[in-house]
Amino acid sequence: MTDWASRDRGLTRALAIPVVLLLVWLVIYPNLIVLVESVREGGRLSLVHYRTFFATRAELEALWASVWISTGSVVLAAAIGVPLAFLFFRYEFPGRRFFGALAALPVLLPPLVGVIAFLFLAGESGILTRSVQELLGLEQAPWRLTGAPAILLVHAYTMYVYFYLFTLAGLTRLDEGVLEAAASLGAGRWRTLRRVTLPLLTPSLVAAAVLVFMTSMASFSAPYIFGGGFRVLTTQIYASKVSGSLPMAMVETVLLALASLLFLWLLRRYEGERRYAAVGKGVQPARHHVRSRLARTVLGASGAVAVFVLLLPHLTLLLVSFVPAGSWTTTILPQAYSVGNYAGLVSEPELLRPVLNSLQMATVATAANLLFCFIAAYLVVRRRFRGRGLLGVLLVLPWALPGTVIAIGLATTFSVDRPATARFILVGSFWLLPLAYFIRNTPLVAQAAIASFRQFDPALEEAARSLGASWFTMMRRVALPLVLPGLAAGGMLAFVSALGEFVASILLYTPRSRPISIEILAQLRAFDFGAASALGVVLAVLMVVVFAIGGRFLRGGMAPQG
Amino acid sequence: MELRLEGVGKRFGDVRAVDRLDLTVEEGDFFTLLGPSGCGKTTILRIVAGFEVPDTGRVIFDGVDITERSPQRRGFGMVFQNYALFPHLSVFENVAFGLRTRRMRGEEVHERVARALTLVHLDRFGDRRVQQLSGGQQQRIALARALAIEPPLLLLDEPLSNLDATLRERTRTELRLLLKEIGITALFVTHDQEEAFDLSDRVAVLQEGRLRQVGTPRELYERPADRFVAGFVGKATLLTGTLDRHEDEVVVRLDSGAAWRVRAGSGQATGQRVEVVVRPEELELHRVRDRKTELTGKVIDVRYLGSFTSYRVELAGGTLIEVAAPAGRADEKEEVGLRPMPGVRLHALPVEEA
Repeated sequence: MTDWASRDRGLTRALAIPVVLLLVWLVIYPNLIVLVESVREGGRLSLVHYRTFFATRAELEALWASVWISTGSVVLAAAIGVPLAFLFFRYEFPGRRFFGALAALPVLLPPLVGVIAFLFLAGESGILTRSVQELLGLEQAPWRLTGAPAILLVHAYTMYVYFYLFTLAGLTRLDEGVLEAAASLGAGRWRTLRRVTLPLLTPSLVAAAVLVFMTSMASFSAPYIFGGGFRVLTTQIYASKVSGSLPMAMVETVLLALASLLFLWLLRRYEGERRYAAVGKGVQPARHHVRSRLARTVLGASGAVAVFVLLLPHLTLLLVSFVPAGSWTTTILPQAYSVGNYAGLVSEPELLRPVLNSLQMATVATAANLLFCFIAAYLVVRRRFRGRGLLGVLLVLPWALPGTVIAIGLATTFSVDRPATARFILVGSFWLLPLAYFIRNTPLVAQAAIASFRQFDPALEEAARSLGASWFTMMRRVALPLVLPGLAAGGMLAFVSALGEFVASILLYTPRSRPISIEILAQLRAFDFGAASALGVVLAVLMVVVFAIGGRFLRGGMAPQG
Repeated sequence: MELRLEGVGKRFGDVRAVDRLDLTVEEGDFFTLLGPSGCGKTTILRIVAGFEVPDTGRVIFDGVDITERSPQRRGFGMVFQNYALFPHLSVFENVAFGLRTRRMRGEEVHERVARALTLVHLDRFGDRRVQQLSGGQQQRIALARALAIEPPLLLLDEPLSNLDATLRERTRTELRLLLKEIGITALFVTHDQEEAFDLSDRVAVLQEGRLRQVGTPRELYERPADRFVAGFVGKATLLTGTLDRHEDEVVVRLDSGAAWRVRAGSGQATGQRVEVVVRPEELELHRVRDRKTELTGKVIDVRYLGSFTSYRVELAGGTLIEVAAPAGRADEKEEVGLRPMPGVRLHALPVEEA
């Protein structure tokens, strides 16, 4: 007599144990090792590295820089994103939908691509810089895009999207009846905004603020490219690692991880506490049809101009990608254009190699993501077992951890050969980068898969079983086809962000497995802007295309960080 | 091939969903589990299907203990409340699903699917997507899918509850004719008494995980075992009185004075306190009053319902009673007398402890 219930429990266990163990091994364990390494000196427990950290001026400055840059990014991103959301939400004018959608675009671009786009626009020899120089007849560039202001500018430019999207979502949920009630009680426009609208939007704004804060704490590309001597924690970690002061890199990594987790915890707590459920059915707020023709034109124009300004770096990138190497020297705009840079991606082995590398590594990582997250999401949604809560946390944790932290953890854990403690030498092998991509993209794919499984009617699983299907047959013939759209959308997004991954790659790549992002950097260093831009444009276009195809399956999806 | 539940019990946390239940479904029976929501009927069905394993007791089918057999090895057909049709498969592939898991191929699959679809009168719908079908058609496809595997037992979990009222009645009639035709053993779950009576050979009435009574619809209606069954199966008013004998007949002397004839029941003795189950259609309503044979009261509401008129009467003690009688028998606020229709023997229950 076979005991069906205990066999079914056995199946849950047979699936859950490896899934949880794998995540513990790849997400928790490396961080623990980093933590242990940071409090060890000469084989003994010691806080000497922390003492050194807090006694070193440069280290403290980097920590402080991370905090204030992040705070400043929140303020600036809010200053752009919130008014923009109000503009596109409250007023109806020609082109509203088109420009409104366009304004959300920068969130889709790989961070490194956004950063180099900025460089071409406002860097020392950027188009904007040269225009201003020419206009004012200056001897040299009117500004230098470097240090904290440059980082803040780039952050504000790319991260306003969080405020824009969250405010938009908050406004959509807002019940017009509440505003009408305020008006009927005698509140004027300002009073309504201050006393009703803003308090109701607070949860959205806080969520956006925490996200921007976490994203800029984790930001690496902008400080790396523009920082110069100005260091934040992420770039400080990179510098420590490259210069070989590993204990210091460990301490910095621990502090960065703690800061990120603290904010994740704050966000969760806040979201749990504060939920303004709409009472009653709610009325969709009406858009103000602007009656005056002049006002309508002004609104439409200012919306278009705002979006144009926000997309200017990316348009620049597109422009530069068509410029042959060495043909753009002193003029404001390049004089010659060709598709040579794109052709070069295929014809020049130097450029083709990293493209193929990235394709190969992203394919491996994404395939693993798909299989793993399919099973993990099934477990989270459809099975009850001890450790299910833990699994849920493990599946989002890599999203909260900066790419730099993940990379340092992997580099530390997989640099020694101690099979007994589940540590192997992967540093220098092909596998380390795909592993990093797998970890970084697990939250994204898992979230898409979990959302799909929540739509999956449990009765379908039972129907299949009652018709004689085994669990495996059920998963293959019923569950997989039904969750496939969401899973595939998550997978495509993961694939594209793995293609453009930079933050972990720069710490882990080997010359043989150079990914695209590292090649972009190399081209930049060699002043071959055209090739770098072409690579960036290809990545950006892929991302937009993937999101256009799969976006509706990814509601609430997370944007790539870095 | 009978289905037997022996001492089956199942708890969910602190809730006793099914409490030591014994039940036998005979071969060829259309057997219904009837009860209000939360009575455990769906849990029992899921235990039979294999989706739940009982904490205590055994499930025996065809003489074999299948308590711990997995659902896919039981081979029972099941129709789900929301049909659970596979949205990514065509109608044909839905019906063929159970056949393919049985490694059936080619002609045989086509033949069996065609037969199942013909049974539910949807033989030309094989190529459709299930989303293109109406609710009633989806319900029939779900039935065809369950029948295609030629199960020894068919399980139906409120399969009519998602249909609108008119469609529900038509589908019910079709379902009854179809199941009669193929003579399959079926276990059916519903909270709708009318549905249960229309379809079933036998009905089990459940309350809070316990079995209250098993019987044919007629037995349940005419001889309910207790107050709960009397009230759940049809409308009933309970009137208290004392058992007595009068000219070789068993009568109940109601507390208000009138003496009404009741059916003789086993174990009932003169002088026992009883409750008389009174159905609306068992009473006559008169303007003339006779305190010896009739209850008196005041009509407080009259509703004309076509084939009969419903009179709501407030008795002297404040009890409300409903009477179904021809139209024009009394007006609102009128004092009337009530007595059983000629020849009717009422059903008496022993008084239950409060």
